[in-house]
Amino acid sequence: MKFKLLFSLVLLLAVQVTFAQRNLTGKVTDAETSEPLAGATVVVTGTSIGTLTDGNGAFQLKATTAAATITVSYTGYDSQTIAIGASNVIDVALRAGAILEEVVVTGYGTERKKDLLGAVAVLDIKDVEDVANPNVLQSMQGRVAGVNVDQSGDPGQGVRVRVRGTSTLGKLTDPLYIVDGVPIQSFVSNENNSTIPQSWDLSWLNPNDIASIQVLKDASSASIYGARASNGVVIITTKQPGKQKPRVDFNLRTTVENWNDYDDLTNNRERAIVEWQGAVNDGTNPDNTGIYKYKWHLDPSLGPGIQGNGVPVLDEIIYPEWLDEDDQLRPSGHPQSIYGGSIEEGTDYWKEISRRGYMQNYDLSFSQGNERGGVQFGANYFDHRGVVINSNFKRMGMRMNSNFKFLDGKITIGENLTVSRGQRLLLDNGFGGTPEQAPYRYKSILPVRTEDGRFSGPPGGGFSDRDNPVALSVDNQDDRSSNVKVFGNIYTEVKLFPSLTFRSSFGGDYDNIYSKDIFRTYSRGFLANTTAELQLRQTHQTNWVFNNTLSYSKVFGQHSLNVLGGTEAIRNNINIFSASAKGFAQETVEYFQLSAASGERTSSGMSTGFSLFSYFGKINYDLNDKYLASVTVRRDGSSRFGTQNRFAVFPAASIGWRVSEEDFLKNNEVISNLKVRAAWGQTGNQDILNDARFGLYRAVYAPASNILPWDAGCAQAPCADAATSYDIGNNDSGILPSGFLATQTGNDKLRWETTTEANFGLDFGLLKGRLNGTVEVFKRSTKDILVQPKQIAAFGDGASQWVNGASMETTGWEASLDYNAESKGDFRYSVGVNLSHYNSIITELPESLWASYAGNAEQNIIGQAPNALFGYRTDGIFQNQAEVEAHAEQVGKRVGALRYVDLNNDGVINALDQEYGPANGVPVVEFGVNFQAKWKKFDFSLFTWGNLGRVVTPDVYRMELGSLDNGENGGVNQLDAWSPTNTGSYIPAASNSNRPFGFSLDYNVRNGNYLSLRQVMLGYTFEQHAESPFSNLRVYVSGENLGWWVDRKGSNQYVQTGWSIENRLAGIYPKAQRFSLGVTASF
Amino acid sequence: MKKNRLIKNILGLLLFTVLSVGCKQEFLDFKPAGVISDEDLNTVENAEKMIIAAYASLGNDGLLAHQYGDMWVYGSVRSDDAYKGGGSIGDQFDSHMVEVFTLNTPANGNSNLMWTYLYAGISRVNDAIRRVQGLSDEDYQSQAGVSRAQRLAELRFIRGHYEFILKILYKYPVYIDETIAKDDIINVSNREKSDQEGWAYIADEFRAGIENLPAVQAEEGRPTKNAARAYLAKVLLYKAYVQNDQHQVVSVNASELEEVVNLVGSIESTGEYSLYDDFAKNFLWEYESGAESVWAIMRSIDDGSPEGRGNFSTGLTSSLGPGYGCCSFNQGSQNLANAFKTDANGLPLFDSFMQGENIETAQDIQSNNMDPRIAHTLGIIGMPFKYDPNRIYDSTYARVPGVYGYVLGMKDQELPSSPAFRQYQAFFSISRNTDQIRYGDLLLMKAEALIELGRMGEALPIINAIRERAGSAASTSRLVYSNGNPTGQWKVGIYSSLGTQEEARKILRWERRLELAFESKRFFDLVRWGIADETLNNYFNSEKQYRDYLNEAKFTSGRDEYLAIPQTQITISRGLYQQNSGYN
Repeated sequence: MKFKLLFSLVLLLAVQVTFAQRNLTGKVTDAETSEPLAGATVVVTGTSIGTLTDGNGAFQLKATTAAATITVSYTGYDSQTIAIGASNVIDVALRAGAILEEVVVTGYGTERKKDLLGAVAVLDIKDVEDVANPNVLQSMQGRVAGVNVDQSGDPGQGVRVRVRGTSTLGKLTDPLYIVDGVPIQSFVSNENNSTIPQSWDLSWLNPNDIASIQVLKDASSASIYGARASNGVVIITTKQPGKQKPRVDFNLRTTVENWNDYDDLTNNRERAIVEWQGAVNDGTNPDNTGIYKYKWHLDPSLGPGIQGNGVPVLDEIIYPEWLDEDDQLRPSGHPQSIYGGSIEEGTDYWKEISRRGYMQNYDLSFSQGNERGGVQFGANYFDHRGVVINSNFKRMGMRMNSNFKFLDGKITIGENLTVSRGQRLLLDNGFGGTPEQAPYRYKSILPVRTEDGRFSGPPGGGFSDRDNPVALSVDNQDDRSSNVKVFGNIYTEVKLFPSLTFRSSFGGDYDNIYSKDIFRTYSRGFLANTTAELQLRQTHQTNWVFNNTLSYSKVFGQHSLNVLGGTEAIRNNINIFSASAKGFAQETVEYFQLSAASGERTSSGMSTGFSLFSYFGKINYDLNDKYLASVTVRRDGSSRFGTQNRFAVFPAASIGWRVSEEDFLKNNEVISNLKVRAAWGQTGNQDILNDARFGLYRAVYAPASNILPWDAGCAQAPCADAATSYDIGNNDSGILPSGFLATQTGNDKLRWETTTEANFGLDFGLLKGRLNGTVEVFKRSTKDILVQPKQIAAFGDGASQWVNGASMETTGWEASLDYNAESKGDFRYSVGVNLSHYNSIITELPESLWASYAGNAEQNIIGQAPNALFGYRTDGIFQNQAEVEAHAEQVGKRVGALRYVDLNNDGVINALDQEYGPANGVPVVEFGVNFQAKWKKFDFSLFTWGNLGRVVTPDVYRMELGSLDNGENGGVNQLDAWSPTNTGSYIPAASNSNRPFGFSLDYNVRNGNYLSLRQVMLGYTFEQHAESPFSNLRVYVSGENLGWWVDRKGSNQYVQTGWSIENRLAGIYPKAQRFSLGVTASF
Repeated sequence: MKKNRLIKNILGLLLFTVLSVGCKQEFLDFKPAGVISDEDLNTVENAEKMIIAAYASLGNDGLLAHQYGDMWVYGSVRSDDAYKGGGSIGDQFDSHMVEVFTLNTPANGNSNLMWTYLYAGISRVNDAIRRVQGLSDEDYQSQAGVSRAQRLAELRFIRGHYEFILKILYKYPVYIDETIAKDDIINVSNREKSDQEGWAYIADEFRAGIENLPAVQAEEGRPTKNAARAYLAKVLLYKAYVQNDQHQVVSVNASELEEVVNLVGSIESTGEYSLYDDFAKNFLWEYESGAESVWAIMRSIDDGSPEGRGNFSTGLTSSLGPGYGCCSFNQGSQNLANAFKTDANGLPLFDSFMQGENIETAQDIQSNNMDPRIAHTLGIIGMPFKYDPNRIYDSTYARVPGVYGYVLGMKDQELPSSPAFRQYQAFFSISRNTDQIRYGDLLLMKAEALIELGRMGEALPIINAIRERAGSAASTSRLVYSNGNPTGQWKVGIYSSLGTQEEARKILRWERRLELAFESKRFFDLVRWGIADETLNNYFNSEKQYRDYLNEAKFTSGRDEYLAIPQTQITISRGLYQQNSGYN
């Protein structure tokens, strides 16, 4: 942003009457684009006489006749000194300077980008300013090498960021986020022994307030953040007031969202065919299987079929006429039902739960500043109506950053303050899954509503117990979660001596999250809720950080030295309170108040927190701008560890050589910049529960989760909160006596997990800086990884224990290349490419942990990626009875079933016939390509992102196999399953009960390569007119998530597309296609 | 200079602040909130609470995987009494695997969870035992008003209960008592005790109870001396049928059978228990823990917990009828329905029950002589539902009749109008206590032991008492339509003699089936008697004409008598655990 003027030391000239004067005028423009540069500094060389250019780039300057040259400078451009000739009109075209002068924010300070020795990635804010992403982190996806970002399209939902894969085996692998020097604490709670995800992430932060985002990727650059930096550090700085005249910026953007990337599910007719096929394949009567009846016959002339008595041929499907005895529920497509196109098609539930989404974003900001200080104020309103009905997110925020300078700038006092309120609808608590999962599980023969207007439900036999997708969504329409956040810091900076600066900052982060969940009564089919309930939950989190630094910066001849030392104290507190009440006489949203309930009430709550105290220091040394060295040390203490292991030291060191500064390269025509660097460092990880080291017993009077197996995952593992209350006196009701449950075994020896990383980097600029690139190679090893071994079940309660156990190693590389083409007339373009690769393996794992990972009695995960796939091999489908009989013993083998390979040749397929495969979802190369072009007043950009060499494990069960479950729905691919007349299929024959023996590396694992067209944008900047109130006016249109190319090579053709391939899960909120129209204006 | 002084003052103040934070070691001390430490629990008051927590695990059973309160999948669905039911064959496929046997593998996830939950219960017992042992007799007596020995006996009783379930499910469980340090648990193999040693070990848990439990407990959830006798009798009855490693019964131990007879005899002599006049009272909340209940899991409702501490084990077995949710699991087999047919004398049609008409509707019941226990046990089309003459069971109550038919289990149902009934979403729970041993069961165990000892004459009155109660006026008083007409031709005759030992066995086994159907006993009975192979394969051959999904069912002798030791546990044990015969 050219308006981002950070400094200008020039005052109006002093008139010296003794000399003759001449009046110089002129215009300063960008040499490439010919756009005027407003606010450029024009000085008579060697004097304090100077001025700033106005909004049109024009300047006026009174110079003495003796003045020989003027110097013109502008941030981000190379300065020029121009001789004053005969003419009083001097037009200057400045060239964009090499980006080397760019300043980046690193730990507790800034460094010139050209001095960086570690792997620091900078997100170019300019590239993402107009992208319709409500969450700023989302914009990093594919644009920063080595940083992977995952997000669903759910309004207000958080994102998942991974820097260089993961360095730990634990669950918490998010990087440390630092906003204006204040760390953002993700919510970690030990309630139910689980982590409450910080689902708001940075959604409270208005992307338009952000001045810069840096990612510290390697341990040497991150180690200044010590204990919490092993997953990388993301540093975000909000816009600060500069020295400038009062200025108002206004941005407006409207976005339309479409979701048209559904998984292809069977309609009513297709569903009936699949059910018939499954039954006849099993030799059972298809008329008895579910809701359809059939006319069909066996045709022995086509072959023996699976059952050996002929191939079944379907003649006619008879759809049920009535679905319930009250005659209220007719099938979709029935003449009297308003849903569904025809009885064959049924209801398309994707269409029913989706809608056109929109986003509206308004930003207004005001800034003013001078040498005495300044103010930057911003206000934002954002409204996102999601593509799934009733999903919604709203954000209102205000931010004020200001600073004031005293004593000739020796003392600066400033503050950054953000107050933000976000509100989103909770879509995720319906029975039977979220609305966006439900279409997989609700039969299309069911209309959305019955004839009397109620929602339909599973009416009886032949249907699963899953709920109506539309009803699930409508049930949630009054369920809200809102967050009020107050975030910011106050700081003072004191220049004790010209070279010594003291800085003290006190930052705070307060969250108040309130969620309301209403359960109304309903009765639809055999599903019912007979008691209305209100659940409220309030979470307060307070996080404060106090840091003090002393920095010393001095140049001694060829030596340049920067020294920083400081301390930091962090305290975090979380208080959670929840209450619920049952029995509401009315079910209006207003009536749902705790005190209005007439029935049972429950309440619960907890509080927890942690503290950290640290000392840190850093020395940067630079000899002659050629040889660079840096040393960092941080000593951290955390309340999460026992007194003996509480503190740990995290050192780092790095060196660099700017080869291009050497004489032999200095004036090289080809190489304009060349730097090699090597860095080594250590970082830590303490992301465990606050009370992880303690042996704990907890009273669990009322279990929240062990009733319904899908709540809290109690279907797969014992509930962590199995009750301790019991009606010992056989009173049948009333308050029960209760005891305590062992929930955790203590470990006094618990200590930090340490990551050591070596990083080698090469920065180069070629062709006069037109081609710039960076290559990084790294090797990272983590030891003492904090893990929870899987205990043998005989251990019983309290088996959960944190220990320092495993080690892992990650190697990888990243490369980025930017080319700025020379302009041809009015046209110029630039291309940026980034590529990254990493590979992680577990190098050490105690035996007690082997069972936590894929493996069997003979093989363990050591030497494999942590998420390496493990499974059987298959070699096709049994084509006939002879093949079945010739094969090894395999549970469920028959004609049409998958044939598993007897890897150990022992004549039986069992757990020992498995082996390791590639890592799940980890690409060999992840890449992003950014193309930008300008022609006259138009600007254009295109951004694509892709993955190569990746395998995924889509939900083949539902899409290809599990169709016959529970009277539900499934993918259309089942129609192509193997049958005696379709023997070429790779999908096993449909069946009610015969399913693949186990997870297969061939069948279940699919090619996950893709390329996505992430964004295309076209903008137009209006010409400046003198009478125009605007100093800048630009309009743009942009599209996001525009298309996918999915690699369908190989025999297994089915790969989920679009949002699901990227998110790797079926049934999570879709990523919509977005089209935006925006205006940015300044005046 | 003035400026510099100001700066120095500011700096001094700030440094002071920094250091004052930094110097405090307690800044990094953070005590966990809302939790209690191990040591704090070593008081009499807290030890008593830990005992409650051990009892509480009895009530932490769940819908399917950890249904140890009422093991309908393992005791009924695996037998000839019941089908899995539910929405389709694939609905809860892990349970389908065990129903048809051929598909079952050591990787069955439900089986692993069942194992895991049972050990969670055992660990609560061991934790409480260690605490009680660490306290003095005097303190305990004075503060809790009860002897330490009694509490220890209660705890061992609960542990014995879990061990019994583990034993009949897995044959070779791991035995973990309070003497084994937590860190050593991983080193205990499942083959440290032989099959018989395991039974003897479990028996000892109850022998301790006979010694130290009181005849009467003020709190009904706690086992009494008689409860310990009853459980010991049950354990010894199983132990008496000696199996080899391929699960075949190779001999029957007479001295243990004698002990069974004596134990039940000593219980009878206390007069504490009796058969209800009305069979139905065993299956109605209003009569829970009455005269016939020897020991039960306590259930509660409106107790301050979100859904009540009700019985969730049977939460999937309700019908789809009005007021219920789903899910129609645990449906009755044709074979079982027909087994209630009686001849003109009211005696079972031992060999011809599958001939003639099938019992499918109320008309079939009207047109045959029937044992009335069918109406207590099974929901049949046209019959009143759960004794409610105004609620007639109709075809809409069943979920996928094409696969699983229309017959539903009734014993674990309550009417939606019952105060014990709680619907949550599609499922339900009832707060009726879950009987683990009822007197009728116990008497039949005695009769079984007597018959195996060749004392048929002594067994005869027991079997007849059971039959008389079944056919009594009280037991049929609820089996009427709204017009007062009886719902069936109820005819239960008594035996004049049990005949030879072979005939007596047949009579006893038939009687156990009718009396205890849908009480999750049948499969374990078949395995104990050594006739699971023959019975179930005969059953599959005949039943598959009605239920074609049973085409793939087959019982493999030497394997399917027990579940596999869960694969996950074998893997975690690094091969220390040995798999059961037949699974590999």
